[in-house]
This record gives sequence, C-alpha cells and structure tokens, in this order.
Amino acid sequence: MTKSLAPDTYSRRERLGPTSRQHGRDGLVFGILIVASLGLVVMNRFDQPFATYLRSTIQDVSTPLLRGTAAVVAPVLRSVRMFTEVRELSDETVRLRDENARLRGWEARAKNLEQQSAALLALARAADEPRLVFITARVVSGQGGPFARAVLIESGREQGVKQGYPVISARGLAGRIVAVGAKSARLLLVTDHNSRIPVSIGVNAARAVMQGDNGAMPKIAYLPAGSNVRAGDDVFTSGIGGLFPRGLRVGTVVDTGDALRIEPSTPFDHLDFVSVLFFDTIDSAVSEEERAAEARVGVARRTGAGALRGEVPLP
Amino acid sequence: MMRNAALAPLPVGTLSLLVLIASMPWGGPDWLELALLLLPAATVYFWSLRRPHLLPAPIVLAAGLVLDVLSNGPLGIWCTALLVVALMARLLQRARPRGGALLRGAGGLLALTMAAGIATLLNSLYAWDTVSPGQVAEALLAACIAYPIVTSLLTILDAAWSVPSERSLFVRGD
Repeated sequence: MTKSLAPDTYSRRERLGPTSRQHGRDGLVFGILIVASLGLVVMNRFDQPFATYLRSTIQDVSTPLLRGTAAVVAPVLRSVRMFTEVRELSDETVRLRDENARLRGWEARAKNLEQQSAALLALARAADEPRLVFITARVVSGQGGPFARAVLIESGREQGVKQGYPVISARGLAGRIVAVGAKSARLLLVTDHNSRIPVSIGVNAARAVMQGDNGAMPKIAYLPAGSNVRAGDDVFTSGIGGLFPRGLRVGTVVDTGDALRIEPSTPFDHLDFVSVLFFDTIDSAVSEEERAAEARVGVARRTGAGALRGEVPLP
Repeated sequence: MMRNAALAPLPVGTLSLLVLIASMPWGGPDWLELALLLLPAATVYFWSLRRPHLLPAPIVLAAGLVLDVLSNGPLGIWCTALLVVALMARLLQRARPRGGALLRGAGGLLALTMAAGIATLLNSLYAWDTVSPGQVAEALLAACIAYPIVTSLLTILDAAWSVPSERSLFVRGD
C-alpha cells in the first residue's frame, strides 16, 4: 500500500492512496478505454453508423450548453475579438478605401448591365428562376484548430436542414452541411482539406475545382491550360455537379508567389451567423413518393427560436 | 463521506467548463484554438494527480468525446489523448507519491506535450496529411504558459471547496 503526502482536507482514502489491486483495476479500465477510443477513430474513418449516431447525439446535447456558456462569457469573447480586430483595423481601412473606389466604377457598369439583362430577359421571355428558401443560424463552436475546418451551427433536422445543403455568410460561400442532428448541424468550411467545390473564375468563367487544404487559402485544381486566370479575378460557384447553385460568390484569386490560390470572401475568423440554403442536390432531392408520404402525414418544417427563414432568388 | 460528496462535482464541473470554453468560437489563429483545446488536458492531469477517484476513466472518456465533437475532429482522438494524460498522472502519483511542486509541474508540461503529440499524430494519420509543426509548437508554448494559471485557479477552487478533515478538527477529549 502506498502512503501519499496529502493535506488535511483529504479524506482517509485519499491520504492512504489506492491499493495495488485498485491500481491494477484502474490500469485495466484505462487500457480498455484507450483501445476503445482508438477503435472509435477507426470506426469514424470508415463512416460507421454508430460513430455518426454518437456524434449527432453528443452534438445535440452539447450545443445548448455551448450556447449557454457563450452567453456567460460573451464579454470576454467580445474583448478577445476586439483585440484581434483592432490589430487588423488599419489594414482593413486602406483595403476598404481602395475597394470603395473600385466599386464606384463597377456600380455604373452594373446598372448598365442590369438594364441590358432586363431587356434580354424580356426578349427571351425567360421564366423566373426558382427562389431558394434559406434559414439563418448561429455558429456555436470554433473551427477545431489546425486539424479541421468545420463549425457547429444551431439549426438541424427540426429546422429542415439536410446533409449537403450549401451555406453562405453575408460575404459569400462558407461551405456545406456534412452532418445533421436534431437541433444542430456540422458545417464543413470551404477551407477544409475534404472540401472540393466546382468554381468558375474570372470574366472568361474558367472552370476549375477549389480544393481546401486546411490553410486559409484553398488551391485551384483542374484549371485548364491557357485559362488566363490572374490575381484579382472573382471566383463563383459553377454549379457543375449540382452540389451548389450556380453563381454564389466564393472569393478572389490571389498570387501567393509560388501558385495562384483563392482567398475566400467569408471571414472564417469571425463567423457568427450563416444562412443554410435549402438547395436539394440531385442525390438528396426528395423523391415524389417521399414528398407524397410527407404530405400525407402532414409534416411541416418547423423553425427554431434562434433561426430566421427567408427566400432569396437564385443568383 | 460528506467531504467527498461536496467535492465530487468539482473535477467534473471544472473539466466540463473548460471543455466548453475550449470549444467556443474565439476567432483567433489556429495555434490559439489548439492551445485552448489543450487546457482540458491540463485539468485532467491536475485532478488525476490530486483526487483521482473523483475523476474516473469513463468521465475522462466522456469529456474527450464531447471535445472531439465540439472541436469538429474525428471521434476518439481527444478521448485517447485525455485518457493517456489521466493514466500518466496516476502512474506518476503511484511512482512518486511525495513528489513536490516541481515534479508535478514538469509532469503537467509533459502531459500537455503528450496530449498535443497524440492529437497531432492521430489527426495526421486520420487525414493522411501532416499538420504544420510550427503551429503545434506555438500552441504547446501558449498552453504551457497558461498551465500555471489554470493549475493555480484549480488549486484555489480545490482548497475553497474542501472542508477540514476530521483529523484537524477539535474533538472532545483532545
């Protein structure tokens, strides 16, 4: 039996310490649980349903707790953010001044193009694009350090969110939903190394794939030779593959010195609210039978307290 | 018995709180987020060394699972890291029961290094991609700087929550 040095506030059991038998049993329990944890990593790697179920259950239970804690430590959170923002403020002012000058020029061109577009649409008698329903939700978790680029949002199945739905911020595309719980969902950001998004770049609409690598600026892959893509070109979703609607703003091409990359327009460091677009992909589109069954049982999509629904026209 | 009942929620409560704080959207650089994720490991080490029976292995596993989910990583990685830290603390306590503050501090820094190492290794294997060692080193440095602060706060809480044992109380006839 080991006798440990313990202060007066320790109980008799703590002062005497555990017996050898207890040590052995402890070691065995730890060994089993460590092996079980490693098994869980393997199960997760192969997308086993148990791992998915466990994740969504824990996610649903812990998201309200996270929201509650955030409310309590909100002043500290704001102070930390203010500190980081102040450092970036002077650079941001210069950038905004330049951008403002550039946008004034674009405004005139946009008005002109709008008139032309309206005239052409009237000429072609084109049908109105369908409108996209969206839901706005709060981001409740961090991105996960250097290992992952994903966040939890406070809307899930009960609010009508489904796996694969695209998610936008006020400035552009943020990512897509990869896992859905009852009241929460996991959003895979465009910068994650598992993210691949078909994009069109620049005025020539060069087709390529934006490939995340867990860094701040995703790579441009499968860009055809002679595409004439340059730094400063705008990047939008191309809609190819049907995963994302066409024309969502993604970011801008930047030259990092050794390669061209995409700087996302969404500020992932300060992502507070995002909008989930109810855009059913080809794979996830609800079949007619399912729609009929849904209508029979009278299931209505409900809106959560922290969520806002709306409609936007397809870009 | 009364004393244990009063203290029982403290390790679990502080660990849960740090898991939630570490998972919040602080909006800093990557190394800061990783440094925050290491703080629950410091808490596990502290309580496993000081009051191991109040932080049993299944609780450590549960905390790791929640941290895995809230940090949006694969399940099982932080579980493994926290369990190894808890086991290390118990082994240290067994090998050097009269160890001083210096030994405990060195053990704590080793525990943080092990947790960061395990999380980095398993994440790299999982994604078959290497994580920038510079970021991990920065995060580890920040966590090591924060470690004495966290430990001091936990020590204060532990002392405040505890009531003197029967040995230090005046009993009729003493």
